[in-house]
Amino acid sequence: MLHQEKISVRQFTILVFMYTLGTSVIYLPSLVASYGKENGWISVLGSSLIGFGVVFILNKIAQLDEKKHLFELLEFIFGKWIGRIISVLILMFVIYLLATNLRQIGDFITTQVMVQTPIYVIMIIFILVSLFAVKLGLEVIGRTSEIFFPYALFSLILLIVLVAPQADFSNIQPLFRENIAGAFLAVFPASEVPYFQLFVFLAIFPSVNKPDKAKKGFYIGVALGSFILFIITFMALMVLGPDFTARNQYPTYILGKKISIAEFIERIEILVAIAWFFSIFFKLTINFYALSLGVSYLLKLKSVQTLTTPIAFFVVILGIILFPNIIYFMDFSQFYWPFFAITFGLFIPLLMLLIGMIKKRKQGNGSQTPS
Amino acid sequence: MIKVIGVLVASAVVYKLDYPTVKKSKSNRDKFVYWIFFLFVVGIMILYVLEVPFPNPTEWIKQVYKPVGEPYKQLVERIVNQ
Repeated sequence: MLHQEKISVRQFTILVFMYTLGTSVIYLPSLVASYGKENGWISVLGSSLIGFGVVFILNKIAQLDEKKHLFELLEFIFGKWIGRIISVLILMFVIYLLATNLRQIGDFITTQVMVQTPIYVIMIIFILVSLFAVKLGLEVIGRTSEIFFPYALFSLILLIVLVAPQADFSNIQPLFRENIAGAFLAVFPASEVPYFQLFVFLAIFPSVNKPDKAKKGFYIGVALGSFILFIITFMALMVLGPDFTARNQYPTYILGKKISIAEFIERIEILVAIAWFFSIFFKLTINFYALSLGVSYLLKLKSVQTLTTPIAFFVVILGIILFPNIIYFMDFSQFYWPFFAITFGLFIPLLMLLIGMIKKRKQGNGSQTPS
Repeated sequence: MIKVIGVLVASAVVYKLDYPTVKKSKSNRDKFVYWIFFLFVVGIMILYVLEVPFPNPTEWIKQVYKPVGEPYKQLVERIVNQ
């Protein structure tokens, strides 16, 4: 058995919360502001509704068999060979995701914080921390999340509170007048980032000690994460204005630069970066764990940790060769990535749910007729 | 050449530190798969430091999603930049 470790419902909820914040806490305001201008915050609300829909589907899938993880479920639902092909496709998506997230943190640090450092050094440092966490196992990841959760939440709340005096309502007026079509169109690319990637949690769902309470925890984590995302987007639009938010790549970081207490305490934007380091660490680690679980399951290995070190170094190389420059990355992530993500984040789970329910009903009838 | 030696030395150090954790599982299959993956990744890293051009997987994904991606791009540009 590959998953003997157990995490509690609270740890699971915190992991979902951190994963939802993940990379989007720093990218989302720019994305929605460039589509919907002053009505960008509507797209965040719309995308969180889609997020709840996705969580509903995932919970239903987990209900099919609470003791099986994602890759076992795929094999159970689609049969041996088709299930394995879909598992390989999903693993390719997850490794792509892992490499992209690693590249994003590398790009952020080399453009904003440590400008002279080569990008691969930053990427290796971040993946080594994740590697260490995955090597130690899921229980350790869960307990780490409990320790770091207050720091991440506190620094984000501190950011919102300290920047609140500079909020200006005229920046988001007129409400619902212009750019409505853009705001609704932005729901699609805005929901790709956290919500269409949540299916990764099916891999650690059977490790939660109380499955029925974990479903509620899934909702709570996504709700809390979406709420923070919404508040931050709202604040960025009100403090920085729609144009400035859209033009910056990291508007949340710029928001941190705006903090000024009595013209004495200033430039504490690294608070935002710290919150982001925590959330992206958990995003990397969960993706990494799901990836190594899937690879170990498909190759019938004894332990999840066997192949983690080669994968970690492979991901660093992949992160560097995937995107030659930032313009290429922006183009890809705006116009192609949403379709790529929806294939795995919505279509495959829907297909799993439909076929799984049909199969379960058939099995139920089959067991009733002989008796 | 010095870069290749650097990569080899670094991978030897990583192997020395990492292999005991694999050995602990006492499964020959695990060891065998680990060696294959490790050699594969070391090979890729050597090719990378020698600046051999790699095919870009992003281009493949772009090719797959081109039929939906291109019309969507035009739609976005029409609505957002009106």
